[in-house]
Amino acid sequence: MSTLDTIRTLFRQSFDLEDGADVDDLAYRAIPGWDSVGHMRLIAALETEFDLMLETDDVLDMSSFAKAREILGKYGVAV
Amino acid sequence: MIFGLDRRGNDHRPALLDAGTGACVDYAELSRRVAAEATRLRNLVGPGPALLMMHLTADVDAVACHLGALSAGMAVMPLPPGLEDGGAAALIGRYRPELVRRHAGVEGYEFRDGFWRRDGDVPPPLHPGLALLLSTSGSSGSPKCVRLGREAVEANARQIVAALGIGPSERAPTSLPLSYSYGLSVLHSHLAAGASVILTSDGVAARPFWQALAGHGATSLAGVPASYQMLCRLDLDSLAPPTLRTLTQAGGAMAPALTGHFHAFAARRGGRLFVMYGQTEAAARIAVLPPGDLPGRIGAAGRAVPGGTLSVDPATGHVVYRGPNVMMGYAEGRADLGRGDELGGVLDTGDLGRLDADGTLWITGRDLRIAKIGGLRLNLDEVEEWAQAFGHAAAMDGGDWLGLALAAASPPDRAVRQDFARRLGLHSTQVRWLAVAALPLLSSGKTDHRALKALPWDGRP
Repeated sequence: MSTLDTIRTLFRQSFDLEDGADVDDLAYRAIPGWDSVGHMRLIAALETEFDLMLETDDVLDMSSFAKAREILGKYGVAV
Repeated sequence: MIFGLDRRGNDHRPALLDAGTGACVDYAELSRRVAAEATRLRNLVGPGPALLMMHLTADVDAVACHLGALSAGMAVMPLPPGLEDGGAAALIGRYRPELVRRHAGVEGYEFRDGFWRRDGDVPPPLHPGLALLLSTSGSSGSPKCVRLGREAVEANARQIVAALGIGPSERAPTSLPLSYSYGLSVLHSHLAAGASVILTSDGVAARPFWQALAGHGATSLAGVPASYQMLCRLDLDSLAPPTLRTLTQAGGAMAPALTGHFHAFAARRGGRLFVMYGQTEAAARIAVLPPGDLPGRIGAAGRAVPGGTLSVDPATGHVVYRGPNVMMGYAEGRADLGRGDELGGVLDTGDLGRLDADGTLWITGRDLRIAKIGGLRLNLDEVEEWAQAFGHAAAMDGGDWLGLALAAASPPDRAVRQDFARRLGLHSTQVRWLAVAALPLLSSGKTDHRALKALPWDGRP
C-alpha cells in the first residue's frame, strides 16, 4: 500500500468510515466522527503508524486531509 | 425570567461572547432578547405548557431561544448533537413537541416565524413545572429522558455558583455540548452569577477554540476525563491564556495521575481544580471537592453542594442524594410528560460509595448494569435489547469498552458493527463483539455476568 493510501485508511478507521470512502476532501467537524475525540484518535493512529510525535501546533493545525499530508511531509513522511 | 435575567435590564457587563460571530451581548441586551423570544414563542403556541425541541448550539440565537422558552414557562428538550435525521424524527414522534427549532422540515409540522409548529393533533398535556428534558446517556442511543423542573434547574445553578465561588468577572467557554447536562450547567451557573460565557463549538482539538479563549480572556475550563486526556496530550500550559486559572472536572472518575497533573497546573497559576460528582438526574451537580482537599484526597467525589445532603443507604450501599435539584422523574414518551414530581427530592444514584466523617463522598463502584464509556452512560439492559437483533446477546462493561457476547456463529459484519457503535455514540473500536456457542447462564436462567467477564474478550473480530 502506498503511504498516501495508508493515511487514507487511517482516516477511515479513525472516523469509522466505510472501506473506500473518499477522505481526500475531509475537514475537521465536516462529519460527525471528526470531533475532538475523533481528532485525537487520528493523531494517535498517525503517530503510531509513522513512529513520530507531533508538536501541539501541528496537532491543532491538522484540520483537513490536505493539511495532514502537508504536516506529515514536514516530519519526513513521504507522501 | 429564568435566572433573574429580568433584574439585569441595566447591567452592561457581557453575558454572552459569541466566538463564531464576534458578537458581545451584555446582560441588558440579553434580557431584552430573552423577553422578545418568550413573547414570540407564546404567540406561536398560546398560553399553557408546551415543549420546544431544538439543537441547542453554542451561538447567541440558540441560547436566547432556550432562555426565552424557559422564561415563557415552556419546557426545552435539546436534541443530541450529531443526531441523524431518522433519530430526530423518532424523538419528535415519541415526545410530540409543540415546536421544533431546526433547519430540516418536520412531517406534520408547519413552518411559522422560524419554528416548526405542530399542525393539528393535540398531544397529552405537559406538567406546568417541567423545564428541561435531558437525555440520560448524552448520546442518541437511548430515547429515555430526565424530567427536570424549573426550580431544580434554577436551584442547581445557584448551588454551583456557591460551591465554585463563581463571581461576575468569570468567563467560561462552552467546552462541552450544551445538550449535555454538565455543559448546560456551565451556561446556567454563569448566567445566574452574572458572569460571562464564551460561546464556541470548536472543541479543544481546534485552534479557533484557543483563539477564542485568548481573545475573550477565559478564566475557566470545564472538561470530562476524555477532555483532560486530550489536554494532557496537547499540553495545556502552552495553550491556555494566562487568565485561565480554574478547571472543573466531572463526567466520571478520572485517573488519579491526571487529576494530579491538572491540580499541579492550576496550582502553578494560583488557581484551582474542582473535581465534581453529579448526574443528569440532579440537573448536573451533586458534589464538589474543595480544591484545598487536593492532592491529599485524590479520588474523592466531594461534598454535597449547598442545600443538598448525601447519605449511603445501609441496605443497598447506594449513594442517596437529597436536594432541591433532584429531577421529577424519567420519561420515555409524551404520555410521561404530564406526570408530576415522583421522587420528592430524593435520588438513589445507583452508585456505591462511602462517606467520611466530614461528609466527603468516595465512589467505590456502581450499579453493574450501567457502564460509562468515553463519557457516555450506557444502560447495559437497553444495549442488550438492541443487540438481540443479531442473536441472543449479553452486554458487559469492560472499563473503557463495551463487550457484546452473541450466541451466533460469527459477529455481525463491520458495517453493521460501525452502525451499532454509532447509535450508541461510540467508536467501533470501543465495542468488542464475541461470538459464543451459548451465553453463560445462572441456574435461574439469567445471564451469568461474572462468567461473562471471564470470556476471552481480547480476541478482535
